[in-house]
Amino acid sequence: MPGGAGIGRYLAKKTAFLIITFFIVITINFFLPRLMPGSPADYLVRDPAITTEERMRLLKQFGLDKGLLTQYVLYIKNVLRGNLGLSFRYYPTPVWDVIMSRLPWTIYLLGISYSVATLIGVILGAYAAWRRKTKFDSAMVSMAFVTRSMPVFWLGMLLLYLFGAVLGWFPLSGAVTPGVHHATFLGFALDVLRHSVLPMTTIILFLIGPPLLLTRSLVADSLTEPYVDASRAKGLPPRMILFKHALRPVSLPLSTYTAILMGYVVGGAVFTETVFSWPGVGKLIYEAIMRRDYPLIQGSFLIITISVLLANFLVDLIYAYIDPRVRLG
Amino acid sequence: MSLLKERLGELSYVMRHSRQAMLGLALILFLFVLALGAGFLAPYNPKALSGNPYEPPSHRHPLGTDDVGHDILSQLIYGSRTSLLVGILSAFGCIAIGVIVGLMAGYAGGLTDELLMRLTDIVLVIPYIVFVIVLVAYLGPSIWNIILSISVLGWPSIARMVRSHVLSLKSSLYVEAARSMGAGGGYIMSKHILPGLIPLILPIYVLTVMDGILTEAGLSFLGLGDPTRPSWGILLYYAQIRGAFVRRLWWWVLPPGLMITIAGLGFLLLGSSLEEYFNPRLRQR
Repeated sequence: MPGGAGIGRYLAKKTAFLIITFFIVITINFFLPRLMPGSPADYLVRDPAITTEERMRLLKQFGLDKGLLTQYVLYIKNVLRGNLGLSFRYYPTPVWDVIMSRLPWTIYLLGISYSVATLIGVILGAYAAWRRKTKFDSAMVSMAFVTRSMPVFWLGMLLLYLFGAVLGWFPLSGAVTPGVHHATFLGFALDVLRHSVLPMTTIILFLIGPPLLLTRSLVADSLTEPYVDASRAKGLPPRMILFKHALRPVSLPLSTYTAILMGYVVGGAVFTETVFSWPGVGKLIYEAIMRRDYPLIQGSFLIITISVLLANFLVDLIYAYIDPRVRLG
Repeated sequence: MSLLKERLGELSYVMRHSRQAMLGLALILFLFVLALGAGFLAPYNPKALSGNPYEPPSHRHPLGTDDVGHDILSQLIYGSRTSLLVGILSAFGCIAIGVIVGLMAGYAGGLTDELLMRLTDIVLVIPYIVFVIVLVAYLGPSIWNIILSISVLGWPSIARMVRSHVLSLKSSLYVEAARSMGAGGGYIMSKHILPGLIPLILPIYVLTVMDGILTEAGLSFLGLGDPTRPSWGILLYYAQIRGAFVRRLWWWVLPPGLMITIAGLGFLLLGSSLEEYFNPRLRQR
């Protein structure tokens, strides 16, 4: 197969980066509680909720009575086994279980909002480039600017205030109506959907600006290319020119860019989930901070970072598949 | 020197004729007036119990009072100080680290470049906001820890841009000419590379101020703001946890977010019009 070596080297490089970053993130996590005054034991196991017996077991498990190196080795071993300690707030539930019960909610919320925001952003951006210097164009640019400088939690608060508190169209918090048992899955899904409208709208508005502006400037560039003139001369309808010809070369820089955006997306989730009391990992970090639940803060940070790392790795794989320069070496 | 004067003249001409830049400057100016004149403009000491809890807007308290009886308008006015301080200083920090890393990587090349760029990639891939939140949660919520955390984590994208700019400057003809006439590394660095970076850094600085302001607001909203200083994010934090929604206290929810948006928009508008000016490829369109 031509160029098989090129893609092999590319994948090896990306995998090495993934593994190295993974260990660096674990190391950062290990040192966080050790940056603070006092013993790490104060931050990891000393909570009134934890029984003396349990505390002794945790101290031994994480080697907190031993030297730094032993502690580090034990920490890595424990993390690799999924042992992130016990949450103070949800004692005696392990941090791992607390996070895993929340993760699906965040993936659902972010997955849909992120895809919708990117899709709408690209379409609006492409039309804005097509209709440069018109009212539509400047309205799109203004919207992108305002949503970029607006704090996402305030945007959420405004939507919540207007559509939740004043108009009463949507529920004020959570992902499901508390205390209601749905007989069918459809009933449950509809309930979740009703709760999702406002948080999803918030994240979509928060995320729409960057893909819109990027597509607008990339398409404006590609519209000046000869092949676009050629397709115009052939008499293709505008929509065909825009979405089949002008948008195609844009897809690669756009996909790199959306990968860079991943961290930004996750930040939006922390704030939006907090405003809407959405039971995801973002809200969990907030709860953990309020309760000074250090094992949970650390655990959430670790899991969120690893999720983003894996998502980026996935984008790299897709990239290798779609970019001929990588595929053919 | 006359060249610099000419460039500055051109810059100010372009800025004066850009509605976007002027609006941005006006918003920023407004914030500085609030911050510097807070002592005269604010009706009360923001930390004083100047009224009853949950007072609606009135002549005495134009934007009402919060859950303990602080005047909201005064907190709003003093909040501009915190915001600008964090924005300006943290952007300095990010730029300083970003420029040093980018310069070293771009100029030295080889292994130094490789190592610094991998470090940059690693910091870049860790979700920024979450990392800042966790760092401040551990270091403790003081304004200096907030500035430090933003600076330590906000530099990677700047370092990347600086590096690629240095690479293109390094291979430019005038630097090659200087080198062929025997100019040393230090001379080229101070006479050609650093001045060549200014057009790149100026817009980035302004945009980084915006990021710093938004980050401070976000941290404060999560309860990680400096409790000794009035801040827009902290106002919203209390509005959120003390039931401003259920009581429908719009005067407590609306103004702080509006101030953050004004601040963000001001620096975003100015920064992106500077970027357009310094990047002529974008300017033609």
